[in-house]
Amino acid sequence: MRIELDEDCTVARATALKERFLEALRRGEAAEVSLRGVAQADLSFFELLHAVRHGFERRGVGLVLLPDLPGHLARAAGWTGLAELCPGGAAAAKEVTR
Amino acid sequence: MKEHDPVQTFREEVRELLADLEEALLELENDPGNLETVARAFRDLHTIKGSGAMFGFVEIARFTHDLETAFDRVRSGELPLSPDLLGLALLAKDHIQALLRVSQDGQGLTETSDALLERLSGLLRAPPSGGTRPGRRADAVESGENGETVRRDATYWVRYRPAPDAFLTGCDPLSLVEELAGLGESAVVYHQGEEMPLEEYDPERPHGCWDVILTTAEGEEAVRGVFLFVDDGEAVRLEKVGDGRPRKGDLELLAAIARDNAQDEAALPGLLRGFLLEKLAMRRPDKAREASPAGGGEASIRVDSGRLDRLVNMVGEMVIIQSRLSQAVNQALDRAALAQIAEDLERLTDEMRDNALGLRMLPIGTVYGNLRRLVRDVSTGLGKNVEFVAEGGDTELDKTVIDRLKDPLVHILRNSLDHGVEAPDGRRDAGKPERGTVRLWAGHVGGEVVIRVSDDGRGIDPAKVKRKAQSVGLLAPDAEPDRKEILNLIFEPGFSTADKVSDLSGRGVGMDVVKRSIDALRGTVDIDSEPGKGTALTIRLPLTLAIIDGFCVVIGSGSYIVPLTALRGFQERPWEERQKTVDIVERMGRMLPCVSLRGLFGITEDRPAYERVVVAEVDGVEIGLAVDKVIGRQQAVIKSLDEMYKSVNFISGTTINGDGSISLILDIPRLVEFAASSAAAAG
Repeated sequence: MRIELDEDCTVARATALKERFLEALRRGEAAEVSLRGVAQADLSFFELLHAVRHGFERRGVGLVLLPDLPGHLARAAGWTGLAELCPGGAAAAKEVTR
Repeated sequence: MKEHDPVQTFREEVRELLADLEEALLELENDPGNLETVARAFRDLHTIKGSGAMFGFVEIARFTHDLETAFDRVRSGELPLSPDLLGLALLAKDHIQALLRVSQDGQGLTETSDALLERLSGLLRAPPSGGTRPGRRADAVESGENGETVRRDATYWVRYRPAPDAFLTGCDPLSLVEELAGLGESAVVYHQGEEMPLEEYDPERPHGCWDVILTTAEGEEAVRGVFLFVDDGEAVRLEKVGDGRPRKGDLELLAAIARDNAQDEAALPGLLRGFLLEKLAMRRPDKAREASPAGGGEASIRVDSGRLDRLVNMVGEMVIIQSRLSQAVNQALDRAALAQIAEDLERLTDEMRDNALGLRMLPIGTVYGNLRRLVRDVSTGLGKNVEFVAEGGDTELDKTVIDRLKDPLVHILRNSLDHGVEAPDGRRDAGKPERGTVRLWAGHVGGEVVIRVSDDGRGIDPAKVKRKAQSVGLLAPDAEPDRKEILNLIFEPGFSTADKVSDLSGRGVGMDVVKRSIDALRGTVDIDSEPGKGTALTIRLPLTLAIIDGFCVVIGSGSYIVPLTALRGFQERPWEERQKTVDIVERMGRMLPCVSLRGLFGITEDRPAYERVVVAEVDGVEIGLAVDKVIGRQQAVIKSLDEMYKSVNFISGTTINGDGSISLILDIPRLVEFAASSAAAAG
């Protein structure tokens, strides 16, 4: 199944987002998550993605986080260990910043 | 000699560190605000102290400790870098050098150590005045007079673990990280929180934490300020882990350390600090690599010079074998096979020769530091304001040549400072800037190394030189030498135009010694000078002393080598009865003097019907040298002269030929001088 995330993915929607992922996990189907539509994101979102990734892994369910996070979130992704979510990956969100 | 004497290695390393320290201190005299150079001096002292203690040089460690402390305080901005401190540091450097030469406990020199440390202690107690606080360029530091704080780069480790209620209180941890990163250059490492089933995961509270390695000049308070409203005493740990600005690559390596040791929060700052200190200690070799014209990828090694000499000798033997093999080609039946071997061996020999000689090559810049110090000390002593410009330091020369070049260069520079560059008043009166310039340039020109020492001083007055030469009998009263000949008189033994004898020069010895030293290196020295404008001395040297390219010629049963650098061509002339030793020969419409070496050497064996004339150039003048036969080009591996030839100054060495016989290597300028004096005596 494909999950398309959009709009603000901040702590205000964190619980709802978690439920969405849990639902997918309960189905036991491999999931593909697109981040293209994410407008805003905070620490809660990126940490949730880590937790989701572990959760799917624990259950042996396939999960693909597509590397299509908008560029303006690249640094935040890099600072939370998820640089690969942006097109261009690590280079775009290089951890060493000036 | 021991293969690996650690104490000797220590001494060699400390000498290198002291040379670098001296260079750094001299640079700081011109640019006292340069933080990198201060750090370099500190690192040198730190390494000298540390390794001194390790190798049992307790006096070096004791003495260096206080100086290191002083430079640490300079580095951290606590202590201004005053001219007094720099002067004392230079003396301290000399003292450490002296300590290296005595026993490890500094026997006989501890009183000097104490006296210098007492002076240092006095400087450290004195209220700061007249110095510059490093951290900015010297011109920027001027603004410090208004009382503002001069900031310096430092590297901090920040561990930020957002509080569990951070989101509830409206805190945005990512924006704090962004603010932190905005203070300077940073590496950010995120550590995930504890793994748990997704069902149990609470998305409304933070789980992970960050390690941020931040280099900033904003100071610790500014770093703490980022977390002013969120730090409850638990969320943030902050420690300074180093001074100065590490390279970007270093920040990434620090981040990797933080990543690998996330769980060991207590030990992490120490690990980071240790890494940075290690990097600082390694900076000197890094610098050398950067300075290398070929860029990275090249490594340097310390090579025992005795081992190098043996290698060069072996290469010499190989050259001889190759030469013998080439001769065998002419006698063997299977010429094609032998010719191939000879060709291969020749190629190998060339490569091996170049490689082996390359091992002995050192950049001439290795002596620049000492010369810079000499110019500083001498010009200060003379009350002169002199800028020393040293260029072409990466020009490579045989180690032996460099070692034997130091004394002549020292003498030439002393002459420039003593007699050449005027005192500030004199320069002002002459319409020159008060600060004089002494320039040392080195470079490769053709197959030679050229070293030029020039100054913009008062120059040499040819009329005064001529009068002086006539008064001491170096020149006949009615002689009319040209300008160049007059200037060359200063290389005559006992010549000096100095009115006063100083402790530097003017004793009538010196330039003749310089010339002899350069001659001994198979080099030449020329002088040019213009009154009121300055003087330039140009030294030309061969790249190496071990092997020369030449042509083998035969006279009677003896063979000789004419160095290729002197050679201009060949021709022949019929032998005539009653031929003089010095005659003339026609070459391309010009008449050249021609010396019959058979006549000059008194060889009476059978002569050929036609003589070969080797045309050589000496001081820009072509001259013919008549010989019996020209054998061909030959690489001559120079061997030292037998005792019996030591008094024959026109023979610079011997070499072994392919057939095992010996050839004498001719020193063409000396040979021509000898021929001229023989002809003058004869008639």
